[in-house]
Amino acid sequence: MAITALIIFSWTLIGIAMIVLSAYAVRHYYLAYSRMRIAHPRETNELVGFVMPRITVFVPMHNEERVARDVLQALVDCDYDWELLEVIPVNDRSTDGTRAIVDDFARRYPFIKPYHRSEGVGGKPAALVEATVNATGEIYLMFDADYVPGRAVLKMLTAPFLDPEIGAVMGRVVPHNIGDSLLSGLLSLERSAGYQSVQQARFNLGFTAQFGGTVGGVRAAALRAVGGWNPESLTEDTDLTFALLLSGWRTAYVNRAECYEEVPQDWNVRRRQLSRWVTGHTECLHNYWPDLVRARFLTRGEKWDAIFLLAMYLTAPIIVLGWLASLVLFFVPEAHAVPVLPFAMLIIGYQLFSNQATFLEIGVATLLDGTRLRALLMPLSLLNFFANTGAICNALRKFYWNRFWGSGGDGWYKTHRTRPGSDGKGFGLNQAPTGAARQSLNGLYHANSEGMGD
Amino acid sequence: MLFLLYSVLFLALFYVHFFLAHRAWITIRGKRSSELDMSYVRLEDYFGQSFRRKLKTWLSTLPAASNSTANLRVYHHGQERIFVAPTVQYPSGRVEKEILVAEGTFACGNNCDFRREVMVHGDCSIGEGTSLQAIAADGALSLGEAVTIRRWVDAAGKLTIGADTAISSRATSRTAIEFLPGAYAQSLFAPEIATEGRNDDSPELSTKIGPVLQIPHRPGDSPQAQHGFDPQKLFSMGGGTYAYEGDLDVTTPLHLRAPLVVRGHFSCAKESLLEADIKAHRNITIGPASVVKGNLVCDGNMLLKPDVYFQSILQAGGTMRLSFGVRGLREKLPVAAHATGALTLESNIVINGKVSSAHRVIAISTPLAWLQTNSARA
Amino acid sequence: MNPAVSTGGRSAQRTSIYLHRSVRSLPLTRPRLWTALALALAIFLLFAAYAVPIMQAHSDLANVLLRWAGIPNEGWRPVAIFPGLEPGSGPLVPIPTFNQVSEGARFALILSVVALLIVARRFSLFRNLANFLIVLLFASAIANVFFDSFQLQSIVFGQIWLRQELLVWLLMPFVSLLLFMLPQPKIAVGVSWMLFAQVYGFLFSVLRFVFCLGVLHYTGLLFMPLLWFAFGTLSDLLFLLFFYSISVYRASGHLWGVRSSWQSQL
Repeated sequence: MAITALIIFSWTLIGIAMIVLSAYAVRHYYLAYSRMRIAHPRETNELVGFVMPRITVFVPMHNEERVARDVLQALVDCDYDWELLEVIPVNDRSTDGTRAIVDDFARRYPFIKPYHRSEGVGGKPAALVEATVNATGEIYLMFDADYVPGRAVLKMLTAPFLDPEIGAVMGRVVPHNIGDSLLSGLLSLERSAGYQSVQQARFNLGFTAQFGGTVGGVRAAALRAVGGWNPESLTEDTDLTFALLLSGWRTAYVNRAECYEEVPQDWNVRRRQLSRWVTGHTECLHNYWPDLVRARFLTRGEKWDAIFLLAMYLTAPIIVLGWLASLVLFFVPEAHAVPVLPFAMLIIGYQLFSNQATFLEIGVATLLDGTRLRALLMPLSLLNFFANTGAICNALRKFYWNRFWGSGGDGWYKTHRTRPGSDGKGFGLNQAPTGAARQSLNGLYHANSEGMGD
Repeated sequence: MLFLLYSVLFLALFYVHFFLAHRAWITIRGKRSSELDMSYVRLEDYFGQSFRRKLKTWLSTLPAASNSTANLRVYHHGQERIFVAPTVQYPSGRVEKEILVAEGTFACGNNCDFRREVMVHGDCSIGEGTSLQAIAADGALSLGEAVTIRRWVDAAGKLTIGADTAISSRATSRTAIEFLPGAYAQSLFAPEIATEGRNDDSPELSTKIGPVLQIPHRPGDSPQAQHGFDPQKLFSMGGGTYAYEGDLDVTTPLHLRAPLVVRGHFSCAKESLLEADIKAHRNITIGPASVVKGNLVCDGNMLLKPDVYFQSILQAGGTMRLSFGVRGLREKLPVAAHATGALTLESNIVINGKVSSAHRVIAISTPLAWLQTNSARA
Repeated sequence: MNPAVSTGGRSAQRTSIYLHRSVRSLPLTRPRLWTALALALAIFLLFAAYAVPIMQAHSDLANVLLRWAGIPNEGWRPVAIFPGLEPGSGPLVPIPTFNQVSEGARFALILSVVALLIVARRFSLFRNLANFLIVLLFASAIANVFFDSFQLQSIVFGQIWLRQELLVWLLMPFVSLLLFMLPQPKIAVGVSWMLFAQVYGFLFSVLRFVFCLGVLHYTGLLFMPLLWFAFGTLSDLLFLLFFYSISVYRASGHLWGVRSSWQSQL
């Protein structure tokens, strides 16, 4: 009797796992397939430079003396009209040389207006809440301090706002430190798949992209409409995405607005980063799913897509439960006595079928990006998959434990920086040209034949 | 023992599945990715300028070949040859496989074929039916009828694109582009782009117009649906932007005062004033002689009827058609029109900026008879 | 040095425009899609129709390898696979019970756990997988020690294996369709990869099966769950990934064609 109950319970768990994971697998296969075949991705690249509202660029900083010069110099060198540009480095209670660096730039460039914060709730969202008060731009763009935007990125991120339905925009982050550790190399594959395949596919299909809080922006009016930044959220970016979506605003994705980032090279750092994302995401799921179901502005497909997006981290414990249920059945001789087609199918199905979808996305992304050698790392991605699954399960366990007991969760945690900074030389890759940057017709014509990179 | 051997072989085979990944990792280890071009900026006339820059570098660094003469200098650049002459004049039917540089003017007859790029420092005239790879001119450039450009065209002076000319990529000019019927390109960019039959007389506006509908409506306005607008379907998204559920076909002149997202088709009657941005989830049709100050974005097709004056950006997820007499102009910044499908320009269109299409931009002739029956004045 | 910076190409054409964006989509034409679907269906139907002979071939090949590897086999017995299908064959390889297992085997278990712990500690990326494998080992040890009734014979293991692998062979054409056929610029290359993966899947299954039987024969049931997981479905996923990575690597070169010089070296 007990054994029978155990078998039935295990089958039920596996059945649930199969349904959920198959649904995700179908979704990911479809996204990868649609990404492969759409020859004209939804983009505003042809209109870059024609949409020139006044913008404010926020750069939250907390003890960023190693990298502050790079990001500020990169913003100075961007080809956006300085008359329409405002840069607000948000110095959030730094105790190192960040303040001096920021003030130095402010002295040299009138459009750089630092905001120094010495008290208040910690964390990026809280700092942005305060810094936004005096911003004058119609569009707010955000870059984390360790990012170095290319010259065209500001214009690229601004272009989608010609559409009044667009409330936020997200660019693409490209890992730069791919060789620092095997983890960072594998994360570069994960990022490629996430942006080049999934974000672009979802945007092509008319779903809202996900705002990531950096290399992105928000319309000031839309931000005010949804009540501003949520300082209590660990993932204020995800929170904003869905707050906007529920009010009828969309988030655009700009694949070509690429910016290097430093991915964690150490698993402990990665685990904490994942933990924050999992907690924030799941929090958003709990906060928004009822409204998403009832949302008047969304089609059924859009609602499903949004819920799938928010619930994606829940697949990890479902996989683990499925495995454990399989293990139980494995040890129960009675389970082997019957030709349990569903048993075998479920084992196979969700392990083989659904996992492949993720790797298909990686492959599609590497094909479109032209990053050949990294494609060969895919077998090692299995390790990353297992590592992520464990970390996500642990993060969810803590989240629901805290939620159940009403205790506080993880606080804001700044991802550890590893890049040493290049003293404003822009990653040491290209020397951004200076002077003669404000060309005719607002930078759309080549002013002269010198100095423009290929 | 045998099984031990088998195990070793099997595990070696198992490792093979990781071998390439391992080797790839060893290659990547310690390196940083560098595929992003941090100095990239989007320039409309990039192709032409890049070509000019490269040519300038080659001509300044390469020695002239021994068979050069006063009238023709030859340079060898790898497998290619560059011919440089003071002026160039080709008869009809000529085929050239070299990169050509004319230090003065360049002219060719009909049905020539230039397999490589052409650089002209003066004015240039291309005969009918000629094919070119790409051409850059520092003076005026006139392309005859049915010319084929396999890549791009760039002119510092006026660019005339003859009837039925086909340009596969961009056409740019720093002065003006005249775009004649039957011609197509992927994009055009110039301070002024004009199609045939330019007539700068202002359209006569109606002496009698219907009641003007304001969106968002004013507090005293009727809450009843009228003129195709139902106030019950209008919602605020916050931030001064509104959404309208369903199709919005306004049958009276519309004065739009705030950004609007229409979850269906949008159309407005003639002589409307659209002061804010509009997004439609389906098609957009703008009535004749309307003034559009905001951006127009639609997921479907867009039609601007005759004599519409737009001052910002048009973007269509489907096709776009700009009718006879449309004008696109604004201060400080160029305007732009982009369609994922075909973008059709009728006669008497003047746009200061850019028109582009993921498919092609086509100029067509508007028949006089059609004009007489369909003009805004009717 | 940014590879995007031109060093002066052979021709007046740019050597790079913007590396990422030159390949906008993959050539998913109708002939390609129909070919892929037809081939996937054909392989599926072939394996479905000839499931029994294929399973028999699997057993025959396994038999040869068992002899070669010196693993005793007392014969093959019919085992039910799925309803409606004729029985397959399961081997009768002696698998000692927990009490019969030699000290060496128990020592091997402890050594495995220690090794996995060391690997988990040393390589953080491997930690979760190692922990899961340790869980499998402990679960197996507990089952063996406290549940005498848990005595899976090799014939049952063979039954599980064939069920699992048959489903993999049936599902694989459709997975291969997406992985190999669609992204490949050349249809013929995609077809080759699909067929190769199918055949390799069959052969690799035999090799793994024999290895697992050997380990079970010498160490008992302790390692059965771990073997089934690691060398079962996970290995199916592994070899598909391995081939897919190579396929993508090669396809990338062809897809970018003359623009391959624009590709990242990494």
